[in-house]
Amino acid sequence: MIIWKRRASRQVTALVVEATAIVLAMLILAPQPAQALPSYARQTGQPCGACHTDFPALTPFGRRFKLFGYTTGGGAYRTTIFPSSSDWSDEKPWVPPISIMGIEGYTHQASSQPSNNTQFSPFSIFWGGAITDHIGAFAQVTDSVPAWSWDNTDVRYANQTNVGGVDVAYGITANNNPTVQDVWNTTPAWTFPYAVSALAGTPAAATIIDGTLAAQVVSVGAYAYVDDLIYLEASAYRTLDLGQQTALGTCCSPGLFQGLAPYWRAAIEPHWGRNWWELGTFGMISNIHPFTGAGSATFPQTDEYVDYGFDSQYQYQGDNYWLTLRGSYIHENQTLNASFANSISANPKDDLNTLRAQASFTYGADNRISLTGQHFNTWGSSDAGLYSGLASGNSPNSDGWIAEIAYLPFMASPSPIWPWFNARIGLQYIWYDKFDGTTAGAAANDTLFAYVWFAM
Amino acid sequence: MKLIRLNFAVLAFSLFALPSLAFEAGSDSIRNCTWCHAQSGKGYLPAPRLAGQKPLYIETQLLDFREHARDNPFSRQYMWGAAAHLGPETRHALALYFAELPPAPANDGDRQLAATGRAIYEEGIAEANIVACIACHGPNAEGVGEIPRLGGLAYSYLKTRLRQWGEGYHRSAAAPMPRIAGTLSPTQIEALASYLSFVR
Repeated sequence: MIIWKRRASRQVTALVVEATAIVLAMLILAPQPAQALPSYARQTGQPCGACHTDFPALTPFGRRFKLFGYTTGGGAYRTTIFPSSSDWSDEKPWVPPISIMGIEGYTHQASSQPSNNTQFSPFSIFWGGAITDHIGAFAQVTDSVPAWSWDNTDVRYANQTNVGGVDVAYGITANNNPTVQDVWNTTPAWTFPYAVSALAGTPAAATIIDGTLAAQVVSVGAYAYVDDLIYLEASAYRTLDLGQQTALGTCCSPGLFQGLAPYWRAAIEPHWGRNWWELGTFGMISNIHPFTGAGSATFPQTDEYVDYGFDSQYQYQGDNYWLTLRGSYIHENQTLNASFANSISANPKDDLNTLRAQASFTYGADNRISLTGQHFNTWGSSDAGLYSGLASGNSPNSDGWIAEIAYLPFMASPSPIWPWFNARIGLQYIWYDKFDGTTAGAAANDTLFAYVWFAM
Repeated sequence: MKLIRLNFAVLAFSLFALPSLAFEAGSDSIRNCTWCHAQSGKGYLPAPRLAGQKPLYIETQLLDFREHARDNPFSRQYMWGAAAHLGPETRHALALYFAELPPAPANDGDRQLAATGRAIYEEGIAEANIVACIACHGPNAEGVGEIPRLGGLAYSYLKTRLRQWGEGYHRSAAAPMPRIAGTLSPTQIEALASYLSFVR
């Protein structure tokens, strides 16, 4: 389970050898019946559909699993290395929560050379689950050919208490990508589309919070989830230095932060009957010294980016289906003291906006059939300096539509290959009305992506 | 090798441990339940309130989930997996823990239907040969023995359960609920569920 989203430069790590040994060890364990799922399913004993709707997007219980630190158990295997007194009567064995995933995809995009391509990418190895009773992690390393890199990582401590009759869950999160810690699939790190072609060209412009810094930063933050209703979080990010980014295969960020970048998130999610409706806001302020292009040198001035977003998600649970509607809007104010002074941008100030509106319907045993549609729109200030390399020469604007149908064959019964094996077979099409600032030739970037995504 | 030695150590230690279990709020098994049923046991729909529920009812339901005798959609979706690895001592200890938690009514029914629901609960429906619920579930819908507390449970949960009784979903000791629930009209179900959600 999980996802890949953004690519960065890579290199080989010794983790490959160790992870391979662990996977081989797991393959000789006696398989368990009924749930053909990776590490979270082994840990909880729950099928995919307990936590996921349009996989890998989350149900309310999936969100709670993440908020509670990836530590909830109940499955055939113990969640911690050392058993606690409450689990003695069950005498469960411990298996490290390791999973692997890969995507084999066929891409057709007229503007690509060649226009038809098949590639096995990415391939990832995960630690997904509990470390101790209250500490858990989602940690991913990815080989996107030709090298390995550090990928989405979220390590957290979580606990629960009751204050004046009100349930409160609280925790600490350390992660490497703004919004990777979020539990609603409206924020950038986990928003649709979940599987993307590694070969297709995509619009160039994106806000800082929209994946630009993925795996190039580290953070620590604290959060609280009050009365199963209100979520509050405050985190602070800093960039890894250029040497660290290179060593981890994620080079290079647009520059280095001056100090820390504060991040905030607030959401309220009332629910009644089978309805959940979330309304939220999130944002980040970063001051970045851009790299000059000469080694690790940066400009003395900074570019300030103030990102703030609003999001909403509605979910309805039927006996045998989920309907989810999602929307998000991000606005970024750019004060380009460094870029303007060094003739990178034509304007001292710019702005950039991203809007996404999505509908998803999943149906069948454990949500095995998924239909998703999304409209996306990015627009902002024209800048002949910043966007000189784009098709329009000055505009970041891109908009279009995405449609995807997906099928997961091993949701209600185990795979004959191995009980923990599962796959998502998907067909995705992206239509561009505008691409990198122009409608001329936008359709040449339309992308057909057919993929088989497996996990175990 | 380390795993085998660890398992032997755990098994040896367990032989000297006390045979009965008593859970505290933060223990692993409790957290596995409060993941869905909420820290205070108040429920998080569709997971029902467990706080103040009859312990014998909780225990028998956990066994029914494990044996797949309770087969309504959400039981199959969530509880079959959750109960699959619970031994008898753990089921008993979990039931005692949640039974001791203070109950609080959901108060989410339709207040305009509550009076009608109360009448059905206390008097039954003679013309349809439906016995009063109070006869088995108690004067305050508190339940007894294996018969569950209904008082204070969420409106939508009660409504769904009554509908599913009538649709033929089973549990090991079903009678007379399938016949009763199958005879109730949708309006009567809504009235009953509304009234019960307000019962303290």
